[in-house]
Amino acid sequence: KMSSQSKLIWVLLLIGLAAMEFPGVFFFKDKVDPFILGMPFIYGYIVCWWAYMSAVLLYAYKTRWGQPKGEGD
Amino acid sequence: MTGQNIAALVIIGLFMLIPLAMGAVAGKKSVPTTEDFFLQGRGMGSLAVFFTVAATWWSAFAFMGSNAYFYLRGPLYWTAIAWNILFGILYFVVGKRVWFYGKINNYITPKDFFKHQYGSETLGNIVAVIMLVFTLPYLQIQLTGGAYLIEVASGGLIDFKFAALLFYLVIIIYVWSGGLRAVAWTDIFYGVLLFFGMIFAGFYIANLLGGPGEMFEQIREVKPENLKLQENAWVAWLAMFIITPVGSFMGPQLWTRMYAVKSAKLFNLMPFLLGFAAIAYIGSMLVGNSAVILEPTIEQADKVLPVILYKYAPFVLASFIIACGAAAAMSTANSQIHAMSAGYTVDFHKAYINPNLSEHKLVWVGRWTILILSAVAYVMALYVPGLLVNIGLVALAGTAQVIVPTAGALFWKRSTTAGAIAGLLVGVGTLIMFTFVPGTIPGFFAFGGGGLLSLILNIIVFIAVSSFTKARPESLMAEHEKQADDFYNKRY
Repeated sequence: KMSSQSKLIWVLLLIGLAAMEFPGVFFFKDKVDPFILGMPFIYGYIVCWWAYMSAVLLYAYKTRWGQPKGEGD
Repeated sequence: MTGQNIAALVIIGLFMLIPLAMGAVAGKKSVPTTEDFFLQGRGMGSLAVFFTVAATWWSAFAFMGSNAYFYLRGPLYWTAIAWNILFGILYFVVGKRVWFYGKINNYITPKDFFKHQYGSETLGNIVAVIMLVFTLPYLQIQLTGGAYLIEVASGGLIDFKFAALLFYLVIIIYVWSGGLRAVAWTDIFYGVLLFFGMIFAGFYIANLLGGPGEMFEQIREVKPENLKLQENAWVAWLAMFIITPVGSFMGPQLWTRMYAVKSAKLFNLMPFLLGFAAIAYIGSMLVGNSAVILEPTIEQADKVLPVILYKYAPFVLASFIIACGAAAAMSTANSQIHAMSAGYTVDFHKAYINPNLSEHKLVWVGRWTILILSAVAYVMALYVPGLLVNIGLVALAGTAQVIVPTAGALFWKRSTTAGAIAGLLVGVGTLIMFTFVPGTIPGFFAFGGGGLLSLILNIIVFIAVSSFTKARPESLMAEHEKQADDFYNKRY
């Protein structure tokens, strides 16, 4: 059974992966400006989502991916 | 050969000797059994696992091929940031389960997993053959990448053939000496160098052009199409996002790194560590783009990194970073050869040729296998042309096919042996056709999506055939049910 915290983590991860992969190629593929973090749009856009994903994955680790403490990890 | 060329080669040589010494020390801790030689006695700690997975995962494909793609095709390779995160998530979702079943059922090779989960020796053999065949071209690109570095470092005086031979010999010495323990120790050394070396190289070269922002403004003037995705690049963008992490994750060297883990806790942390480390790609992105301005006419794009560094960076820095590149290729190659050797020795030699061989002699069979497989990869490096990333993607699309029966065993009770075999044969068969018969990839998949299409066909056939064929034996399913219950209740 997935806990609500576990479901939240997976929803956040799926949002992040979808945001990294789909808008960049379908909506922003010709977009160069504005530069983000000193890089053309698509580079900076992905780096921002990378920071988001790193934060979610760190949260997942800190909360044991939403699972209660095990008897065994 | 100038004094600088000799010094560059000495630095690369030293970088290879330091971990070799570590390997020799590790070898003293090893015991002559297959479980120790191939899996380090299933006792690999957190630090070693992260670095050995990262250094195995980051190869010549990442360190050199990425620069070539940024140089030739603009942002297409930037999908790597997302695929690194997907790789980490796979390690948590699939890897933790494979580790658990490996631990309680004493699996040593990937074949053991399929043989037990599906109750089929035939399926296990098909998987083992797919892994051997498709890991060879991926091993080939490590030799090619390493040879490019030695060739450029020597100022062209050591030709490609001899450079690849040198690289081949060093790999043999490594893996021959100490089994997985030696490989893992050297990977910690390599992993640290890789991460910092890649980032530092990128910013150093971009700063020669006034910093990243100024460098991109200059590209806008001379080659604006390099700042955005090219027409139909979305197919390759999405295909690489799926095929690269899945194919690498299903490679035999990563199965070893799932089985060998000591504690389950590590699997919770790996997605963060692997995802975070992806930012090192900013280095190759900056080098590849800077090269568009600095050296717009490099013929062999895979040589972008060494050419740019030796020409524009201080000699010591260039040699240091190139040694990191050699380390990237070396760490992946030795892990691959090691895992392939385990595959042949345990799955075929012990099973069919000489079942009564002692543990000590089996380790020797493993060593001779290492010698022969890497010789095949060396010959391929000499005669199979192509960009590192393009050859790598074919190899990864082959090993990626194995994810279908793996996920079926772990998550779908209705999956059958017939479905798994049919799916694999269709997936691999279409991949071979797409690779060697021009014009056979239909529709938009022709823009870099052949590997993805073969994986989709594999999934469709797997589900369809499994739905209409005999389920796995009830006794087998009852055993799996109990083990799955143990997993979900954390009875590790």
